[in-house]
Amino acid sequence: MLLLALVPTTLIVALLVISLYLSLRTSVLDPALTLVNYVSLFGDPAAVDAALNTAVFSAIAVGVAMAFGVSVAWVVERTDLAGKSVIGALMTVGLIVPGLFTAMGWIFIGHPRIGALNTWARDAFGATDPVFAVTTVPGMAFVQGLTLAALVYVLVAANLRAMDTSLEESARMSGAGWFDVMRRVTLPLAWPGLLAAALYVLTIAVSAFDIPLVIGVSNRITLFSTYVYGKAFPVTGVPEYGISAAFGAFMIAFGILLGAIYTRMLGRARRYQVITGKGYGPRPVRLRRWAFLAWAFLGAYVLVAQGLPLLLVLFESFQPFTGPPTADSFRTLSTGNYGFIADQLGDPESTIRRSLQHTVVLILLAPALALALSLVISWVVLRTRARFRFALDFVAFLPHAVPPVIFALSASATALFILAPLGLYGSLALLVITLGLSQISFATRVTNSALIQISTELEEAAYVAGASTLAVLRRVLVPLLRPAVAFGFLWLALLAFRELTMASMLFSKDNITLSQETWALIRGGASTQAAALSIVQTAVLLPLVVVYLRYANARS
Amino acid sequence: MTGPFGHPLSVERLRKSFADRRTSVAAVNGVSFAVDEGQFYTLLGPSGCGKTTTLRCVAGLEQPDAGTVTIAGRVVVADSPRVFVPPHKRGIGMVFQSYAIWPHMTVFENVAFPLRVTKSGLGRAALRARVEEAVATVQLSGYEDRNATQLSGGQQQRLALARALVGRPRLLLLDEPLSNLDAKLRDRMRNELRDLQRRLGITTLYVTHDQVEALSMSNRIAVMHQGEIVQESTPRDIYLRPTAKFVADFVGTSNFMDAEILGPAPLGGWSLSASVGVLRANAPDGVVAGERVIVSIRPENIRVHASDPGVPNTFSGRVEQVTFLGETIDCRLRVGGQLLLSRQHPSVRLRPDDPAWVELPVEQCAVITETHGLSAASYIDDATLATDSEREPRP
Amino acid sequence: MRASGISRGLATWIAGLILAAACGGGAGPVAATAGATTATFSPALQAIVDAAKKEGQLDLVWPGGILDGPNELTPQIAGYKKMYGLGDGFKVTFTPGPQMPDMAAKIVQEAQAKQKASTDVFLGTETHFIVLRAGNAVEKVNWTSFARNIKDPSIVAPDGIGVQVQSTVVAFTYNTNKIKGDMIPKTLQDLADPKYKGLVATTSYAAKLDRIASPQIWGEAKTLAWVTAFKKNVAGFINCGEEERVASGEFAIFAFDCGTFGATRLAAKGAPVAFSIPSDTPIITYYYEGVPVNAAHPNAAKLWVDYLTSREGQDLMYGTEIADHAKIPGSKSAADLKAFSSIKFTDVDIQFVDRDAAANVPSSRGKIIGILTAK
Repeated sequence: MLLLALVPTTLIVALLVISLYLSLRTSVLDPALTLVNYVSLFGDPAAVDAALNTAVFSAIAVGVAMAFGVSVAWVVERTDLAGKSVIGALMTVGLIVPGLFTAMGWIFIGHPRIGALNTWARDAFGATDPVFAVTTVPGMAFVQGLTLAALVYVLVAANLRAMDTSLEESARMSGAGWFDVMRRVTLPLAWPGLLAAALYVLTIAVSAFDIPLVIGVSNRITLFSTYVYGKAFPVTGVPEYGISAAFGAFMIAFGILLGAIYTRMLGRARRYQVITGKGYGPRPVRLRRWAFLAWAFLGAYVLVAQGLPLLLVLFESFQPFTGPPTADSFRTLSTGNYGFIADQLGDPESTIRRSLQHTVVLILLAPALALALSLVISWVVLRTRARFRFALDFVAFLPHAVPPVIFALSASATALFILAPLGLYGSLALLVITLGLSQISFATRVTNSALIQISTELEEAAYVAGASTLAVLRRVLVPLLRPAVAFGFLWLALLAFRELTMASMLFSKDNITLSQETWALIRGGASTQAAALSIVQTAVLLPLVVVYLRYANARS
Repeated sequence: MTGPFGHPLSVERLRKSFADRRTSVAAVNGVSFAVDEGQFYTLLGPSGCGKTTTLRCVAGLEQPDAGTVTIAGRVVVADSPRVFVPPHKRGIGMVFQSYAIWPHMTVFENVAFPLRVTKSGLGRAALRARVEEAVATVQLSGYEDRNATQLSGGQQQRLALARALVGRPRLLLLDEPLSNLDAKLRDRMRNELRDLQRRLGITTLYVTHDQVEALSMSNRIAVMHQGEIVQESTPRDIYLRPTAKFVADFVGTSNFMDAEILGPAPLGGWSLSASVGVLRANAPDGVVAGERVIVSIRPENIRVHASDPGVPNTFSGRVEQVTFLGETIDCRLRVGGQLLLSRQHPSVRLRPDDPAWVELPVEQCAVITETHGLSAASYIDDATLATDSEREPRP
Repeated sequence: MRASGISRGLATWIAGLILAAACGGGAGPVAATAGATTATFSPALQAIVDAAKKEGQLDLVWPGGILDGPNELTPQIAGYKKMYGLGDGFKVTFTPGPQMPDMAAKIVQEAQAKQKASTDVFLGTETHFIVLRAGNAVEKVNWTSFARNIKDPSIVAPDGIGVQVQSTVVAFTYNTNKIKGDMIPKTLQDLADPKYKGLVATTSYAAKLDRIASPQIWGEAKTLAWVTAFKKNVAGFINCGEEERVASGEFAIFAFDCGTFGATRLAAKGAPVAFSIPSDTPIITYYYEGVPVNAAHPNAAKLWVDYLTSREGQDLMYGTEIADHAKIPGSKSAADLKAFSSIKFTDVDIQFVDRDAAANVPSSRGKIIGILTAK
């Protein structure tokens, strides 16, 4: 087990070392090592401005994400609200819809000049100032926060689900009101998990890209990520990966800091083992007359954060080109884009068909790989006394901190220069492995919090009863972890489905994915065809997700 | 009494330390004992004494730093050559403090698990019969198809026991199995567990911090303190003749007196000079005149007389305080400078300030030659009196 | 309104072309009726064709939306196979790939690692081919020695590292609802006028402005002075391919765009956009195609490039892209350009860049971007 845990972590460290090496080079053409990337990254006054914007942006985004994510998770996991399983499924919509569409949609909603909200306020009330300007740092942060809330929800849900309700009930008994229970019992008990989730989305917010690119750059608001992007990926010339890698080095340092904080928190969280061998079955909080309020809240969130982008994509998919929904545009509705998708699906050689096959393989194998390796890592971290166990956990967190472009670039360079004889370069296997490794960050958060909640005695009882390590894993640990792992698998699969950066860096005709094809359509000026493709994907995936969640919940 | 393969369990010079920050804490520090066939053997001690670590080393859940463990004649842990048999190959049954009932399995599946994973070679019918037999043994018949999480605490405890027994292990390990039950249920399960063990004749290693459990269930008890066994004997000996002050104090309540051996007494035993005066007591072999020892006597063994009964070891004193406890009365007596706690039948009428003749029966005085670094006087002041004041509000 | 009139006319023309393609669908590509299958090849071409048949396959990867049409080159692929008699078993794939700079870096890395190239044919502008040349990642081909269609040496890049397959005019894309009459910018200099404040979007990477700064056009001093004034009008940055954000009214003008075809294609879909060519800095840029070293199917690739420069290839290209190569005889783009015959265009090709390099002209790109992106 120990060795098994060392393999992925060694690979991760190796990839990070390679990315550090890349940060010392200026371009693929120049092998000389230099610190010039660091100078151009941190020596520019514009970088300071970008860093300040990023700080404000990240703080607000994480705040919004936590507020919505935790609330939704609590309502879904801890209350008796009817029909809440639908919410769990709807939370995934945000992942299926490409982030670019979300950003585009918010421009149509909240742009000071053309946003529907603002034009409507102007026409109806003669408002001179925009009601909501998405083109400001707080505006973008709010939108980013709404999308990150879905991830917070996933990360926190498992924690809340397994928490012993009697702790809350006893607090209710002693006279504490709902708010007091939340503040004094639920949150303190859940807070290691909450903090872990906050740190996790913080790293995403800091390197967030879609929204800052589409909304920020077009309004001259530069965040660190877009600043780096502008420097590293000129549309002419050679990409300067070195600058990205230098940013990566900075993010690794930031990640190490967060990782250290997180590890300390994990140490504390270990005290809260929740699933013991004793009677276990958390009872939901009864909402009664509050159910109405809960639905209003969930409905508003789902509508604004998940529904609006989806509706917009739906609308655009019937258009010849992308634009804000206006009276005029309703006259140009057509199903042509769906005809295009149908044609492409009918041709076995088409990119959509090929990328569909690759995507199916990718979203099944990469999460499976990540979860299998994460189970081993979590097990070593939480169940053994190996000296380096916390280092292991820490390394598992790192891929998340490194910009995916750098992680993938390192993997690509490794396959190309170091492991050339393996023939991995350009293969789907390389993409599966790289994405799987990078998903270990997320997957270990899931397996850690799940494993923390399972009493060690349940495993020990199996050992003593005569089960080998493998049998303990197979017959006791995996079944007990199943609800959490199944839930984690779904989200990893959706994240894999959505993943674009690594897939692009490791791109070849033999591993192109649907997300890349969608992106290619958008970049190629066929964004309404991309919208139709997204709608088709959503229409296929959403029912699958609902069925999956039903199944996973029914057995948990 | 040993079986055909030697002791069902023997542990020799077992050591286990845990790293704690920069230092290393010895949890088990050279523990040796052997358990006879069919014996109910208890490791008794306060939390942190190393009893659970010892049990876990026997189970194979911890890897000891040194020492030898032999189960049913098979060496499962040894130093040279290095042997460590993993837990699943030791053929033992174990009940955990939390019962460790697998929540994702039914009662039947929980019990069947050991048979399934050890590839017992049983057919479906035979397996079912074995499981049903085990379930019947713990009186859970009819619950087989229940989800394990639907059982009550007592039923879960029985289920854990059935699971531990179903593989017919040579050795049963019990880790504080009663500590999670409420007081009434605990009493009942204690009797059930003892009867079951006697009926099946299964060799059992039991870990507890509860002296009542230890004394009422065990054939032999090893009292542990700071990673070592301080006394190993029958329950009766442990209670009546503690050879260490820690044992006397931990197992029930005891009075302690500093004393010095004067020499052999004419009527047998030894003559000692104690704070209450000269008394006679039986001392362990090897004591010599002039040696400083501690005399321990249980409160319930002290007799109080209204007039001098004319027997040895009787001293004149005074009643200081009386507390009525229902089944007994606790009475604090002063003999010279020595405070003694005695426990009397409620029919005995005693009032504060009454004069009293205090008899310390010769056979009930235990001589402890080991001091563990504390003077007996301070021990009584700090511990016994503190306990008293908690028990009884001063008037 | 001249430009928008043109685009409307083009739209009608395209509709006709598409209709024709649809009707002729059963009989294969519309222009393939020339009956190239029966043609005999020169010995040099025959050798390449035989080698290509042995390779049996052609894998094309370049950014989607450029030259690939709505159906992933399906008609071109059929015409290509037919023209060289490659047979039905010959497999051709097109996959939309990374953006040109990323793809160029990828090809260079693959060449350095001596591994198979990701694509058999690389598509890029002069900038990307210069990167490939510096990385020794592109094959030097003597195209005219075997090619059937590449006859004009002026469309071949120096040393044969690539062939120009399409020419395009770089211009301004504007929203026809928001920009009318006098507001339509006619020159680059116009855009420095304060009346455009808050209306203009440009690329954050200063597309083509570095070429304007060449002594062959404006020179650095004049360009930087212009950028300093222009910058005050810039509302934000968007990328090539995002012309829809002009159509939506989010921005009124996009300058420079990456080719007039962006506006033309969007206008053909009914979007309120048109283009305007700056008369003071009119430039034509080119898409090149070349064969990476270590391409898996180099001979099939050479035939492909030859096919694209054929009249049939060019017509199919124009059908979907509304652009072909103006220098190839029969060009429809050349016909379109006749409307601008008064304008003297500068060719921004590999030779243009090489001339600057030979004269040791330092790149102004960094300075331009610095001014554009500063607060």
